[in-house]
Amino acid sequence: MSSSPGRATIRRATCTSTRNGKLVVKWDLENWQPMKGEASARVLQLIRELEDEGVL
Amino acid sequence: MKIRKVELNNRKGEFRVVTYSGDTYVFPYVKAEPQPDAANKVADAVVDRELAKEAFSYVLESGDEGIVHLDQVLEYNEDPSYLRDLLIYKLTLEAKQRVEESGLSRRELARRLRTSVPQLYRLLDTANDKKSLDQLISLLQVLDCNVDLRVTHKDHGA
Repeated sequence: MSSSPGRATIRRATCTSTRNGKLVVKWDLENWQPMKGEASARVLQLIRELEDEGVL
Repeated sequence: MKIRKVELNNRKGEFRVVTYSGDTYVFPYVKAEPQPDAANKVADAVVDRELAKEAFSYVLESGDEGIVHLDQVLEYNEDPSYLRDLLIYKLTLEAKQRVEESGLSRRELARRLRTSVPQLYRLLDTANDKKSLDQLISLLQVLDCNVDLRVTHKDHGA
């Protein structure tokens, strides 16, 4: 997800991003709101890119 | 909530998930993707530390891998705390939308709610689950909404 180690899991209409074993954000893809944590502009950009690629 | 350990049971076709709070949940293979079956059983399942222990990974005999997030497990088991947090989230979304539609300033809303502006922002923060249902209901009523609660029997297997 970024230059630092990070992972994202996709579950239905949410996307969970972690970095170094800690939650960054759990993002509601349907309503485009955070459910947990905070999303930086970079993380949101990556989520949008994954949506555009059809991964999400 | 985090996962302490996960066990696989190919005979029963289910994962057994234990959280640090001591709760145990069952998650059937049929709900996992890729779905294990008799011809392609689960070879291993481990708590995923990279995913903040909020998910577990599993590997099939074929080598295919899958991830199951704790939310999937909690939703399947209809965990009351999980469902409560989901309800709070949905009400917060509703309140946020109606705040935007109302055209009222945050200060005016806080005044009507007899609270502070920072507290109002905390109420409208979708990532904040440390708020009560009655606070949200009060906010929605200040926003000129009727909030009706309907209790019905769960519809299992329909």
